Amino acid sequence: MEVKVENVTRIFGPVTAADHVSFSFGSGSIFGFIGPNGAGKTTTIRIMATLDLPDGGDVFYDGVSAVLYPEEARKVVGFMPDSLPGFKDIMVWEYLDFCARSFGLKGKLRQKRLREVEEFTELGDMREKPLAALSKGMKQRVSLARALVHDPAVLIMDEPAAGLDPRARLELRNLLKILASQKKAILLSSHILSELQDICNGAVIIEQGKVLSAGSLREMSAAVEEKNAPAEEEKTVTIILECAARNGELRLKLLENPAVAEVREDAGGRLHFALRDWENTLSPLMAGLFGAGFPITGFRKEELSLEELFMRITTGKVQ
Amino acid sequence: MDIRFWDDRVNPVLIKELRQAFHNRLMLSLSGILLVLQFAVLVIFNLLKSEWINSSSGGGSLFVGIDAVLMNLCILIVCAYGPLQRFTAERSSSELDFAAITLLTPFQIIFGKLVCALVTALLIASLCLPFMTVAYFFRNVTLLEIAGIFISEIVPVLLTVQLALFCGALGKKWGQALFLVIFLQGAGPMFIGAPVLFNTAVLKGSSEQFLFWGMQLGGVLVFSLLFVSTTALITPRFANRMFLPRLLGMVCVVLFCCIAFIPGVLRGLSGVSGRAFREMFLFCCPVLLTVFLVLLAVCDRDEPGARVLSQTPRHFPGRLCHFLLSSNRTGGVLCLLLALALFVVGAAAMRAWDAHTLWATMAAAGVCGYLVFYGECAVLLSRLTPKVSGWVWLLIVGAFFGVLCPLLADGTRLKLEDIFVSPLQLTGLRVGDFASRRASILPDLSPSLLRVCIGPLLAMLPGIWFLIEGVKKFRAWRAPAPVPAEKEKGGEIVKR
Repeated sequence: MEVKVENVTRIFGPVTAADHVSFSFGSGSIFGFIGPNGAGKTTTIRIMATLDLPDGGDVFYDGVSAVLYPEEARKVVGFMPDSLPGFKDIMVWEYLDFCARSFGLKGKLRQKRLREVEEFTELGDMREKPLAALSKGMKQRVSLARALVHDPAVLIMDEPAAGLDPRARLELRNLLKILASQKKAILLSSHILSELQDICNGAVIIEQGKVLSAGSLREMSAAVEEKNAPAEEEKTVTIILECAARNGELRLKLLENPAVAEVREDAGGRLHFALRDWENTLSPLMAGLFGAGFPITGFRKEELSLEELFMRITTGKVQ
Repeated sequence: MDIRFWDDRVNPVLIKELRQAFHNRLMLSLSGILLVLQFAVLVIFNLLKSEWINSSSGGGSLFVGIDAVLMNLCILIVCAYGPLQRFTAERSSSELDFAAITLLTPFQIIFGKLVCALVTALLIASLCLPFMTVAYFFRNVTLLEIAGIFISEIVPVLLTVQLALFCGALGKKWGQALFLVIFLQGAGPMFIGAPVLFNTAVLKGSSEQFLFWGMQLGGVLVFSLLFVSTTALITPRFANRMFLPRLLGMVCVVLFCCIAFIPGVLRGLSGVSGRAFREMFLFCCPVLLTVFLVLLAVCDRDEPGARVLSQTPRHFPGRLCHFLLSSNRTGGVLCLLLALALFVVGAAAMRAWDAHTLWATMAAAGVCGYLVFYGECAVLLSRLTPKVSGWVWLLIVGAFFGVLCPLLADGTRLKLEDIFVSPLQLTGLRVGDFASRRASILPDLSPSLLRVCIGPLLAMLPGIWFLIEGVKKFRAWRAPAPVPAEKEKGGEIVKR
């Protein structure tokens, strides 16, 4: 399933909530949708979920227009809004049964899907409880089950982790990873960037209704670094080095190398060092370290975190 | 088909609502209280029975009356207040957003809620039925009269429940909506009045029986209009939300006007004893329908949007009907003008058949003309100031032309037939009243052809503008050209 958002524009009076928003993502990927409050995330998400109509542009699900064929789009989209299920006087199983019926699931197929989503979201023990008696985390699970009940290929989630405790967040993250492994395309809007960092393959950063950057985290990071890069000869990167022992010795050895600018050790015992002209100097340096018998267990180039990316890309302006 | 899954064909909303209703503590406790109260009343009446048996009048009718009041109270709370509360809660928690992305239609949602409320009303009625039949043994009440209570309250219950759903769809705070329910419906008179009227007018065959049937007919009409309005209220703004209400409105207009061309019906109406019914029917129906269509036009949006246009039929008649009935203000105003034209033609035809008794129809056509004029002005003004809603402009325009202008009438005088009026007075519904200086709440129904023509003539002034605009818009009213297939999948072209 390929999801393509093309030039989506939505205007509310004097405010352009979404201004030619374009990005795409596909099956098996978890895409973060990031932006400050009022950036146009929810507007775009509502348009993607066929809850609103754009003033321009369109959203395509495997080439099918969500503007012209919303019924077709709804069959493949599961939407998890930021509000939790609000029905009163209804049990969890009754609510999910209603959701399944609303999507036209009938007979044994409905029963099978309900069993599957209850099992997946671990709501089995809660099924006889009234919705109103559930905790926020559990309601979030019901909301996820509701979005998944018709087995959609695309899952759109608006602030799913908002207000959840750390355990519930971790559990939600694990569920999302499983869903991505089931080849579902997931779009996730969130303010908790550290959460997204661990699970997202890519992201869209939006501000004042405009997409500032979109793509995989690596691509975005590279783009930002390139934008801020100094002259070619001064290009410096930070390398993270993991060593099983002899960290002090290793530190001194690194400082002996003229290409190494500075070395610091983090709380996890990893050494971070800035390396000049890294494309030419990294290989000889590592060969030297291995040759000297240091028990190095891993090394990698340090990449910008999503939070850093966000802070560098956005300007903090609101509409 | 597997018998275990028989309910697959039932509306999902109805199933969900019934489950909610039967989990609801309010309903369960009120049903219990109703049974206990009825039993208590029965015991008291039984203790007093010997006195009635010896007297000429039994206590049956009193018992039935008390039971009917208890039943109606219970129905009001459980079947109107309960769904209203649930509906407003759903609205405020965005549950309707979820429903909007399922395969459920707004019609299914409202219909499911309505049927659930009626099922619970039936349940409450069945709790009262055994006690009411016992009343028969207390004398002074017949089984037919007892049955009449249930029959005569079908329409009030329908109307009350639908009004509650309408208020639920309108307001986010249930208290506000509840206020609207109580304020607008006048539940008490309706619930008490209907069985009394049924008893005195229908069962005893009095001349007022047409008033009862008129009330039922009016009730069904208002119920239908409320139903489609509620459906439109929960339909997303970008969808073709006005289609169903406008279609129903126009069908009712056409049906009403057809009466003018069926002399038998007209003669029947003329022969009806009881002027109230005739005037209520011939005056209220067109005015009610016009108010409904005016509200639809002013609350509509100007441009239809891609979703609406994509449903346009390709053939000319279909395209024309789609243009007139779909969500767009120009189509809405043209519908109004069409309805007005039908009323005027109908009124003229009715007058041709019966020159003396059908002035109510002529007066209705005149009043409808004023309403259309106010609606057109409101549409034009709200186009100039998009921030102010159309219905706000309608109120302002109505107050200005209907009240302020006649009050500001100066010394300039025009002679209309036999009466002198100021031109400023011509913009108000009560032009005849001002002219003749009679104190009256109702518009002037006295026979004056010229006076009833002023409203339609006023409506034609902006109407010409809308006609020209409508022709231009209709020419462009086509489904968007199909976008070329984007890619092929396994030999099958994927539509865009």
